[in-house]
Amino acid sequence: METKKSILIVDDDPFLLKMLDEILSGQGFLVQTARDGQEGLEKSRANHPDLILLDLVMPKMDGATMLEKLRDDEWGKTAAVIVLSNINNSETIKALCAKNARGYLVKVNNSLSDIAKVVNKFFATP
Amino acid sequence: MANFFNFGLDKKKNNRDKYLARCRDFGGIIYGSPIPQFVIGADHRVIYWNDAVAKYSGIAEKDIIGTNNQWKAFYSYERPCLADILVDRKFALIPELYKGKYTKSKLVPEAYEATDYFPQMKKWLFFTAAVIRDKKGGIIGAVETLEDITDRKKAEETLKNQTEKLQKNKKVLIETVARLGEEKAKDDAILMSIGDGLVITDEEGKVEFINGVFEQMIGWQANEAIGRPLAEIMPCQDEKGNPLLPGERFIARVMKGEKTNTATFYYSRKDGSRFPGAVTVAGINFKGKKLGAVSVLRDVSHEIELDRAKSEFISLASHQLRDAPTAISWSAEALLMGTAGQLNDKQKEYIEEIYRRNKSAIGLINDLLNVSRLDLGTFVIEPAKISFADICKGELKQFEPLIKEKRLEIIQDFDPAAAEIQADPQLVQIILQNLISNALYYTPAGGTVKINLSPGNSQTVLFSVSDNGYGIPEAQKAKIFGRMFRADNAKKARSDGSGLGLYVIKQITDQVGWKIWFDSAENKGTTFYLSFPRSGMAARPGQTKLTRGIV
Repeated sequence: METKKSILIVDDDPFLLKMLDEILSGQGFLVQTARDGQEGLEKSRANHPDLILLDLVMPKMDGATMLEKLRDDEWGKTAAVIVLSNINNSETIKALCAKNARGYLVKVNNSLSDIAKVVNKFFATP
Repeated sequence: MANFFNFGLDKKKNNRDKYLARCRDFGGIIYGSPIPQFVIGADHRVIYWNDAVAKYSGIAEKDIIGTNNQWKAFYSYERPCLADILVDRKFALIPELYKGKYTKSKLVPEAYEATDYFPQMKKWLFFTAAVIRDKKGGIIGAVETLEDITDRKKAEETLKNQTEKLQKNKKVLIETVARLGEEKAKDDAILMSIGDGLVITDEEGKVEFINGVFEQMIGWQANEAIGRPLAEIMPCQDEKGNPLLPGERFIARVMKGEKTNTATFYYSRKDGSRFPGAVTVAGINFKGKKLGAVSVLRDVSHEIELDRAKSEFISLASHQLRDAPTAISWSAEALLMGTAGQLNDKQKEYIEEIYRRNKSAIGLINDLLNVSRLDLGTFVIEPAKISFADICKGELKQFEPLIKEKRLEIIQDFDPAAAEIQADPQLVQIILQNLISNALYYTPAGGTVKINLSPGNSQTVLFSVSDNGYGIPEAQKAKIFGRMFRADNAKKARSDGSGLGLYVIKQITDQVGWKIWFDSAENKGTTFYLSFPRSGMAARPGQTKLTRGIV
């Protein structure tokens, strides 16, 4: 059996974080969570997750800043990030694309199973 | 002169002929004078009548001497001549007969001068009359001298006419100048007090006029700015901050013959600060020649700030408004999946209702946010390769439960010739979702919905969704694309619904340049048509993205 893929979920809403953790853990992923960009950045650098699900509006450090800082180090340059937020401002999305975010999901428009599907598809794509 | 006459007149008792002959001898001077002259006695009878007066009057000396017909020389009726009046000392008559035409001589006492026109002779005469007295002071006659001043009078008259004409012209000129001055003052006042900045430049782009608002806007006073090139005192940059070369500026382009132009640029003030300005430039043409350009400038800092604040608010609102429904949606979903244990039928029914209602709330939130963004007019258009068939399939899948429940027949026909379109997937999704969901919602159970995509003509593609449902009431057809409008029968068929769907897609189609229209008959059905160019949509930058409404 393959080693479990690791996912870091960064979101300031503990309930949403818990739901995402439950569904993705349930699908066999190794899930870690962080409550803000600062924590997310530290955990990313420490654990090098295979995928980061990143919320944008968060205290301490927002998602966009975290992504920018993430790209600073060698590993972080190519780290896979999917933005999962309820913001859909096109300027924000454009800025994130410029930072090589792999995808952008608007939470409210996606069910938990939709998100799980996207994550599975991401790992299935070579 | 008195002596000369006295010589002859002293002997008035003598023979009249002899007396006349003598007078003639002595009066040779009068006779030879080129100046018309005549003399009358105290009895008004003519004593002397020289050749010149004979010539002028056309009355020979022999016909008039000894008579008192001297008036015939001048008038068509009998009346006293000036000499007659003086002989009688009836000076009071003078003002009456020569009103405004006479003056009393300043040199000779009891002499009068007058000027008058004599129609009989067609001449202007200046005539002088003086009393002749004897040694004792008794009046013995009067002499009248005439001068033909017709030519002088004519010249005077001409001069007078010309002067009058000139005076009249001068008056008109002064009035015109005054009026023009007034008009100009009025124009200046209008230009000065216009609410927008206004600058007039000459053919070289140098400032000729700036109004008060412009002065305030750029910090230059009119007296400093006039005569200097506008490009020099007010540098201009595009929205990205790149300086515009002098030749690229609107004024230069308009001067080269381009039509009136409008856009927003960033302008520098005298103190170096910048402001966004919406500018309109038009050439000033006179008889086919470009004399300069007039530019109207409006500081749009406030508008840009307001737009930014609005779009920030919408962005924030979209985030805040969606967090709670996300939690509800995911929780209900988790419960339905059995994450928290198997649900009994009653529980399942309630949770499903929570899930469904929450979804429609999300749909309404998205619709409202879309409307706000549409009002802002700055939604982004990002075309990508899309398939109408795939999008429709996805939408129909969303509504599978409804289709099953209502036993609706769905007929799809997608022409492969129009398989792929270059268009913004989000926008197309919003359009198709609204058209399809409307057909599904407003068709009674057992009805049919047809979805069709076909090449319209060589340039266009035609998409249509038709149903055999409730239709749109005739009287409400005109309002169907209106904001928050719902037809009466639609309200009856379905209580929830924002009335925003068709409004949103009409705004989108208008902005992307697509066409939407419909055919409908109440209780027979409705067909919505969407026609668009094969080239799809053109990209456009913007502040926000629109989101599909019903999730």
